[in-house]
Amino acid sequence: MQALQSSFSTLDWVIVAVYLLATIAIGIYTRQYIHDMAGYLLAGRSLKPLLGIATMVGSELGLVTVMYSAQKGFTGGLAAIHIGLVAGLVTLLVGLTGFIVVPLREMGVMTIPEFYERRFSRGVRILGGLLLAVAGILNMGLFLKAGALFLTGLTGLTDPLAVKGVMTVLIVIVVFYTILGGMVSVVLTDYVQFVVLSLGLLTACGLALYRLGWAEITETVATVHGEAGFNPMVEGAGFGPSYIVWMIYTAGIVSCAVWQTAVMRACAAESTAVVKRIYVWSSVGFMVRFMIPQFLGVCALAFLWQHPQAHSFFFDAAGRPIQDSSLLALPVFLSQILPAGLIGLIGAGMLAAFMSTHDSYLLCWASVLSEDVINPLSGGRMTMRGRLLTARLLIVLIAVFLLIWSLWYELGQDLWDYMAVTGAMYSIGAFALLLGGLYWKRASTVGAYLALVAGALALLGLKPVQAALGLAGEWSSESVGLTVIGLALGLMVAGSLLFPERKDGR
Amino acid sequence: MDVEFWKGFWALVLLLGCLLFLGLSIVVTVGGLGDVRALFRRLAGEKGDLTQRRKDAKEER
Repeated sequence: MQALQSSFSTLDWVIVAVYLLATIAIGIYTRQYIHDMAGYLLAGRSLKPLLGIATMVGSELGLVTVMYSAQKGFTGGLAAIHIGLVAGLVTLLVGLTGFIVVPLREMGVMTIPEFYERRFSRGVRILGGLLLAVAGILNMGLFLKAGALFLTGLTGLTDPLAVKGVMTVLIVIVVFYTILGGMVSVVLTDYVQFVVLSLGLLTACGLALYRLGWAEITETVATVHGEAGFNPMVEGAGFGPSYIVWMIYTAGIVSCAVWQTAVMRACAAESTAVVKRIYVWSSVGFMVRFMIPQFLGVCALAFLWQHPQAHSFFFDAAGRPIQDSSLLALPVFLSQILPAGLIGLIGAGMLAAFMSTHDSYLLCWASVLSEDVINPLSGGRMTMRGRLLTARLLIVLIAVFLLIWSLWYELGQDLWDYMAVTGAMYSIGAFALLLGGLYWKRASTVGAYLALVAGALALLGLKPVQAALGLAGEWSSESVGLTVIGLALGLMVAGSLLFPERKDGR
Repeated sequence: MDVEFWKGFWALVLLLGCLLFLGLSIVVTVGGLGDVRALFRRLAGEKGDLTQRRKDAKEER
């Protein structure tokens, strides 16, 4: 690995520095437009369709998405692309039907837990908000690690201390402009990042295909993964029918209609008609945000398989991809094929994507904790100034936790699968409450409580948790996830029928 | 469905996906500028209203 020389040059560092400075400038400039929570969290509900699409896709096309998708392409071959396809088709369906997102926008809520209170009770809001924030924070817990690996691989920076220092500086910059500008700066930086990254990644795909050729790519996938590298129904490369269903739920429904950050953009749209338009057009982005990095991961597989110096680092003696190294495959590959200048631009775009994902999520989880847990617990008596201050303080505290978690947690599975499980701890309960609350009059508060608690059992899908319980290797994360979905929906129905809402609302 | 089918299928999906995304990127890049201007106009208007309301309240006192 040491012998692989990155083409990252001084010019590329200059490009990255200029980009980061411009990002800080936007945060400072937009401060003057924030005077209440609607302005801070929802850009004053002023988002028009194209900016809505840019910020939705820009926020979800993060460095971490690129890294875990590329890892899936590397470890799963072309069959991994089914994840992107499923995500796009489901998002399109949501846009055409308005499933979940339109009724939510019609209610005019700012967060999903706010919906919980309006539909069920304040207690459901508090529990739901807490689960949402905990799952969300765990979900982003390894973003810094992914970012550090990207930086190491792309730039050839091998000193671990230097990498950690750069990551710390980046999260400080994110906290800085998130605190200052809220959603307005998030929207603007997402827009710029969308432009740079979308065009940059498409260029990288073109270069990769030109350099390797489709025939060499497919031949390598066949050699390493066999039929499982092409057909997602075959279980060999970590997929199979139950995995596909799990992806329809996770990459599809949850990603676009249940995950708080995507839904916040629906809540920020000008009208319900705009919401549907945003989702229909964003379906392309939702598909491609997985698909292009997955394809780049497959290209990395083809390149590194042939590369004598890299082969033993990325593949074991039996020719199987080594999981611990697989996250590094994409950045190392890019460092070898991208010319100077372009590597800096894509590096800047990816670092900006890293920061934009962090700022969106930091803002989101901090606002959930302040608006949906702390404020309701105080009886709704917090002043506007107090709420803004609380949100900003929480942003700092969450950032500190992320730094510690990223350094300490041992992954033990593909990063995408870790995120699917931690996301499911919130999303399964939320899905049951949204489905029941929006489409079934008889859904009750007791049913909601039971579904939320059941959803948290998705935690059992994490490999370290299974190992701690002596269940290592027993259950795949998708089988745990699908079982817990069934349990949560069942408990929502059973709890609602056995303990219906009383006429006096109790 | 054999391996040759899947090779062709993924090639088609990738090609269509990239073309659609390229088109969307161009439209959003160009059109999004107008939305950015509209966002600032609306927020500036709200900021102006708030400043005026504060000024009026101060004069009343």
